[in-house]
Amino acid sequence: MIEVKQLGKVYAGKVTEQPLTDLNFRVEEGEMVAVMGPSGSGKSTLINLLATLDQPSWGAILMDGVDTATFKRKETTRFRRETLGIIFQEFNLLDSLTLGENMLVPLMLTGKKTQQARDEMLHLAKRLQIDELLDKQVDEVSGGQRQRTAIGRALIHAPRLMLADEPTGALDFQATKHVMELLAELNETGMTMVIVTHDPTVASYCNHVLFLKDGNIQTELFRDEPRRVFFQRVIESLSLLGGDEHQLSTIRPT
Amino acid sequence: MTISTTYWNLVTSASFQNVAKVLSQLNQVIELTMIFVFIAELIILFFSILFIYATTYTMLEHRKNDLRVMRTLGSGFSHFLKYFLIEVLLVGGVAISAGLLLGVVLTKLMLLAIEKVMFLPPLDIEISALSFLVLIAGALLVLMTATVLAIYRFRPDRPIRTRSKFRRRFRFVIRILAVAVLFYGYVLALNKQPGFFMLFPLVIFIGSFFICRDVLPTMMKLYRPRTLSLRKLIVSEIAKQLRTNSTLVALGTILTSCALAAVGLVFMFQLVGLDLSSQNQFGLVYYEETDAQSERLQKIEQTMKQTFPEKYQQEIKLKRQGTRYVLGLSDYNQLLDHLGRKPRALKRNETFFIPARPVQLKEVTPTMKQAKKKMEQAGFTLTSPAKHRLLFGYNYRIETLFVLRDDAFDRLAERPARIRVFETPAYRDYGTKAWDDWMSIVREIQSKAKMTKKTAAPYQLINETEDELDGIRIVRLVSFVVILLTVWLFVINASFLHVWMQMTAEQEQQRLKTLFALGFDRRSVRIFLLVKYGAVLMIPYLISIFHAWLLFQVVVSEAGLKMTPFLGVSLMWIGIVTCCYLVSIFPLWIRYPEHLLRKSCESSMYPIPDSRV
Repeated sequence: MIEVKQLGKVYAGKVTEQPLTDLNFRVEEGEMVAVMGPSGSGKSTLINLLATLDQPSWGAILMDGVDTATFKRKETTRFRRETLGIIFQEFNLLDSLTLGENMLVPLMLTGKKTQQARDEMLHLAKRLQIDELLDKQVDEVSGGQRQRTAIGRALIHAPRLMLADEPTGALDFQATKHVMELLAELNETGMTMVIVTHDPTVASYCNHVLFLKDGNIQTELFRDEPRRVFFQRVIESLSLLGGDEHQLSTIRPT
Repeated sequence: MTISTTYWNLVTSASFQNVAKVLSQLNQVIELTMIFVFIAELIILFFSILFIYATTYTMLEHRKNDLRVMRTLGSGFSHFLKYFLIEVLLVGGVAISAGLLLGVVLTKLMLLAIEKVMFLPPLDIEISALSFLVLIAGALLVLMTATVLAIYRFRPDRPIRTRSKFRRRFRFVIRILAVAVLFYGYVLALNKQPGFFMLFPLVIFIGSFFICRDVLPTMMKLYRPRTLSLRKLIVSEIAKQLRTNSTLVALGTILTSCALAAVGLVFMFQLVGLDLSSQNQFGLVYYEETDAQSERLQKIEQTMKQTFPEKYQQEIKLKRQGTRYVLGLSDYNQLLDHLGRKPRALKRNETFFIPARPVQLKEVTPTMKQAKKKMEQAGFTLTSPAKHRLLFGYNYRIETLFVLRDDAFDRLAERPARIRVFETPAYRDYGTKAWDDWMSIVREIQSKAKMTKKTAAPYQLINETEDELDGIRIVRLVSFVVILLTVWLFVINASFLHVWMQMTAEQEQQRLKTLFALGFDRRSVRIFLLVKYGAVLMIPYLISIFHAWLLFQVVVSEAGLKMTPFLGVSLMWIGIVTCCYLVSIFPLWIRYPEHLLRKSCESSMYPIPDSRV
């Protein structure tokens, strides 16, 4: 579904920053991919580029074989509206709307009938355990509840591709488990997911993990074992990420 | 700083103060203008503090992380204070110096403009070292106060305290009191009670705060469309912005209300004459120092008779001793009889004083004392002066005026001069045919005057207590000052809004990023921004218009006039000022959303440096 070719990004300013240098990877339809790496390794930049919220400095992102840079404005809007669901690190809820209204925004844009939209929203809110809070304003609820609302907003229109930047950052262990189970369940229905995370538990739910460092992929893992075993491999890769690259290559799957 | 310097230079300039003093003795409007200027200065001072406060606070916000690190390393409040005060003093010092320099230039330009506007000889600009030092000290005080307030409020890692019960109750009581004051103010305004003047500043502040914080958001909450739409999103956003920025809005509306009310009043003065508080009833007074009636006076007399056959006319003989004039008792009593007042009686050689200038209604001036002494020296006995509040000084030459018995008047050797008074349509006839006819006569009379020459015009129009030249000077000065102040208040308002927009730019870019990510198209986002900023900029303005109009109608009513004929005038006034306001906010309203729109897509990672317009 996604093919990233020699992707690079430079932010020119007083100090030129190059969060991504030469990135190459593929994400297959229905895959659940985790992107891990230290702060400043280019994870959020990658999410912004995949979401077409930013333009690459070089290289290309192919969505179903089409370069996103060639999208016309209307096509970009339609892509974001219909294909994409996004969870921001800072939640980015619209603070003038209630939690329920925030979740309804994507359905409003697709023009779904009100009653049907409300039913779907209520169903999802129950699964996210925020159904009691739908009439509350954003500043009246906790960080975790906001994050669950942001997740609900990204999922409500059942997008083909979901991008998430630290989707469980503000959640406790139990809530993280609950949310990840929900995402895994949705992934089984065919939804492709790219999740930026620092949390090995979150990564262990995915079937493909990319490790970024200094704007490049240092290594990647594919899951073909039970989650607990995969979790150990993720931990090992993380512990080696700052160490000897020879050791890293030894764990690189063939 | 530039504006403050200019005002300060004018306030301390002896030549300008002389002009203002002389003119304020001639007409009460000048006093009102001075009060308005004083209020405007206070507002500018207040906004300067707020402006520096907001700027410093924004600066601190941007360096939040640095401050946290400093805090972690053991810095205390005094360290922050020292650290920022030094920086602010350095930057502020440069700003103060630049402001002073520009202020001096602007003062000179203003004096030149005043000379031109008022046909005055060149005015000197005298700036003493002491006045400069006072100004710099004042500016530094304002700078320090605002900075310390901002730093104190910011204090990183300050523990959050829950509000005590007493504080909550106190705030509740204050709110109830404020709403009561507001409604009492509205009742006074709608019943056109003069008490509204006292409550006006409170009414605009509380009113703007209350309407923006409570009334409009509540009304917008009631807007519940069946489907969630862009419209709903915009309405919610506007309600939120008004609610969170209600204090700012209230302050902004004070600025615009003052400016609007002032412009409205000046507009009315221009149209219907000057001194609404004057009780004089004779609209046209013609003065001649000839024995025979001049051709011009004959022509005016004839026109007035033809146009207003029912209006009263009277000729009064005067005798002049320098600037001290006397008139006969019979003429005086005839005039009082027509005005429905009691006639006076005098014994042989008795005389009494009647006011000839507005200042004489309030106090005994040295000129009056001197004139009374001269009358006594001439063998007259002074009795109690006239108690009525009417002015009889119909000409710039007449400084003092006394009434004598007719036989004593006839015995005086001086050559008689004559004054012919014509009753004319008054303000209350505004909007009628009689008023239009009267205005065409006025225009005809005015067109004969040569304003650029300092020659005395022999006639006097509508309640102007000096010659026409001074009347026009007063109108021009008042208009000039008020228009200038209005422009400045609008500029300050726009600058303040600009600072506010910069403060919220980062948050706004984040919001736009979300909207784009959710799939809003560019057009919808543009509409969202334009409507939102349009509403946030225009709603306070409309609230200002409402309050300024309340003030305007109370002033008109206080002058004994009906509001209906002035509706057209007030609409024209609102139209003109709205155009000016739109010009002042146009760059913010149109350019800022466009800028945000452009930057939010191009550089979503680093919104801060790009968010500045």
